[in-house]
Amino acid sequence: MTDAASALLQSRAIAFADKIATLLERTLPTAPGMEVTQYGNRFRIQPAGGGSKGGRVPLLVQGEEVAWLQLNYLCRLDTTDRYLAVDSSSIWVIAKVDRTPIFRFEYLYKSDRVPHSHIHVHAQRGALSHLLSKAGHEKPHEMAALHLPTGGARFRPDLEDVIQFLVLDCGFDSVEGWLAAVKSARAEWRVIQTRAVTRAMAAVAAEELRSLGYAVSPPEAGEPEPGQRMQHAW
Amino acid sequence: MTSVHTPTRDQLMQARASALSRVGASEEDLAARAEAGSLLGEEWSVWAELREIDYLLHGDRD
Repeated sequence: MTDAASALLQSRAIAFADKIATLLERTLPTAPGMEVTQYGNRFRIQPAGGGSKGGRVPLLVQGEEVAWLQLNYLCRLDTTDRYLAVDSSSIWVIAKVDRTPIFRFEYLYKSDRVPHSHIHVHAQRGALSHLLSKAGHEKPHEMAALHLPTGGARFRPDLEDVIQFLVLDCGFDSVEGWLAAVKSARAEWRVIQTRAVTRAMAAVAAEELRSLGYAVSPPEAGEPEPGQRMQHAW
Repeated sequence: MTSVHTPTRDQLMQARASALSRVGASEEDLAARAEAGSLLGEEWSVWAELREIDYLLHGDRD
């Protein structure tokens, strides 16, 4: 990779990290800044802080730190050699009392056996263990071993969805104006995904636009084939 | 707002070792417990950190 390409990629990683930092600052109290770690053309983007604090945002209840939101995004140059591609992201909610995750929201760009976007829940339920045992599951007593599907690459939840869940459903402390920040970030995310879905399913998008009264013509080369990953990836 | 780190390969390998020392386990033990679904406490975060560093190194560990 040339120095210019490396500098461009780094600037894109910083811009991405800055957006996350802004969202965290506008939603959660005592949110740290972000840090980008680059090695060659690969990046890790996470909240700043070394050692056991690395990658973690404190979650407070009435000012007391009771949990952490642990984030990281692993990124590289995409196939066009111009943009940042997310190979994986993880958003974990970890209880301080036992330093063990409670929820894990995860995304994998490449995945053969599990949903690209999924949630793990760390809990116990005897009925589930019973069912999984009868089904011959290799880890019948581990609810956290299950991968709950969450919409694939394009319809997956993003950080702002998790933040809203933490504040509204779980009751963690927030900062004033947090919901406006969440809605703004969500709107931006959905535009990005809508564009990507439109590119991958152009003929479908064109048909829908025509039904709304738009004049849409196919390209001279003809309607592009719908993206296989968009249609079928779990 | 965002800080940038560009560690050397040696620094990343040191970070791996530091992560393992936080839980006093060997990588083999941790891998076995991860496979069995029996990680405990901070081992979860350490295991994740090892995989993150391995991603950065991308085959440059050896």
